[in-house]
Amino acid sequence: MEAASKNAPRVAIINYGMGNIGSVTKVMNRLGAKPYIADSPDQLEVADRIILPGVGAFGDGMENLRAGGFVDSLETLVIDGGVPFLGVCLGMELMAKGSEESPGVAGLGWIDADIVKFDSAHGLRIPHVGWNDISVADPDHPFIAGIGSGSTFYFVHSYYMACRNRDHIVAETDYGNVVASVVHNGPRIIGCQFHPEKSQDDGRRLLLNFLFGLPPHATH
Amino acid sequence: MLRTRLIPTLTMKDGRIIRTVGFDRYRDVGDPRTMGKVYDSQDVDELILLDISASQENREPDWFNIERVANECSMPLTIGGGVSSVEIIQRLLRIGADKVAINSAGFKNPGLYTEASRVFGSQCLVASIDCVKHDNGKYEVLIEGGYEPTGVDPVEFAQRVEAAGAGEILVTAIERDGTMMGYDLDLIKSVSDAVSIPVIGNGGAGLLSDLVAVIQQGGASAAACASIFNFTDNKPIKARAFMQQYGVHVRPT
Repeated sequence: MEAASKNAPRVAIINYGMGNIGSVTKVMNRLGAKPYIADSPDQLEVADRIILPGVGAFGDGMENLRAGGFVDSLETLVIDGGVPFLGVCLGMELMAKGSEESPGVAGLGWIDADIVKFDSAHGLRIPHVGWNDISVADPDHPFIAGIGSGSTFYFVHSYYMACRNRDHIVAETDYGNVVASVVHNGPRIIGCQFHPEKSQDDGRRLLLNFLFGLPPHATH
Repeated sequence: MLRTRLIPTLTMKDGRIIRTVGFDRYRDVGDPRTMGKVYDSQDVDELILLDISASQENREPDWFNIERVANECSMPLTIGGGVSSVEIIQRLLRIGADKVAINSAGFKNPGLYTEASRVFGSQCLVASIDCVKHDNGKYEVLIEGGYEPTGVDPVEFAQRVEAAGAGEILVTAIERDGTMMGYDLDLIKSVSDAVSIPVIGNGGAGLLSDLVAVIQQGGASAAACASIFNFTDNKPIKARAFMQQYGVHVRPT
């Protein structure tokens, strides 16, 4: 494991009881960042980057985030403060306004989208598990720099993000339905449906972009 | 378009990776961490690690060695063996598992799938179903590492775990395990036809053409194998190139 340098970005990985924070922590160490597990919102304040990982149900995820007091501090740090944010899998889905999986539960609402279930009428097996291609819709977004259409990433999910506003879409993936596989709300707020931490070289490239390739916040 | 997965499996007993034949007759293959590292360097699609001493001896997973493997994996990792409670699943996910394979505990208590899928989502729950074929042609699910008969038909059980909340099924033909004589295509086809979640075929791959057959004839979404990489000159990249050549849509090599 590489020793992180003094200037290595401190990456807060939010622990809200929703799964696999181990994989994300490991890859962050490997890429020369200083990851730490944030069990409470005050621990986010020193972060240079924030990652919201997670697997599981939308309703439980939002409830845990809220109960942990994370929602307000994320609004302050990410939306107002410009701290770069990456939501992965469920963490990305929570950036939407709501989900068919948990009607009546409001998401973070950072992306103008809803989370919907795959249409089984396409005859495809659900969950969507495995490596699938992306088609890059916004090649100028700094998160996707160096990655082109046809690159493959590892997906594992039963619900997907349907964007109302195409301006949010960085990349899409076809699995019967068109899945928003990378979304953004500005250069520093990013969501990934697939698992970059489990997608080998191309995944590491995206995470390096997240760590070192995003433009600074205007007020910094 | 979704790519068909080729998934090496590692069987661990007493802290060593071993090869089994028919779930019996062990042969040492190597150190778990080294094996994980080798497969990581080969960019395999996924890796499955089954800790068979945990289930055989009715104890918790081998946390130490599982974490040593997980530390080497930049691909998705499924851990099985001794997965008997939500707490164990939570801890496995925390040390680097992406999915867990549930076997005996899910047979005795299908509520484990329901409870775990509510907490973690179905997508990280793999139902591992070990099957034996009897002389009359009928199949039966065995649990406890193949030691305990259940009297239950694999197709019926597969539908039961799907309804309970499993997200994938790993079907293993016990008498093909380690034989390199080819998958039990009838078994795998009957299970994959009966469910709408992905099915991973396992047990018996010895030739590269077996990997094509389990997808095209067995209807599996993924091919799991072990001996074909451990005891022949074949490597995952060569295997994927072969599969592509025969019309299976795999990841570019």
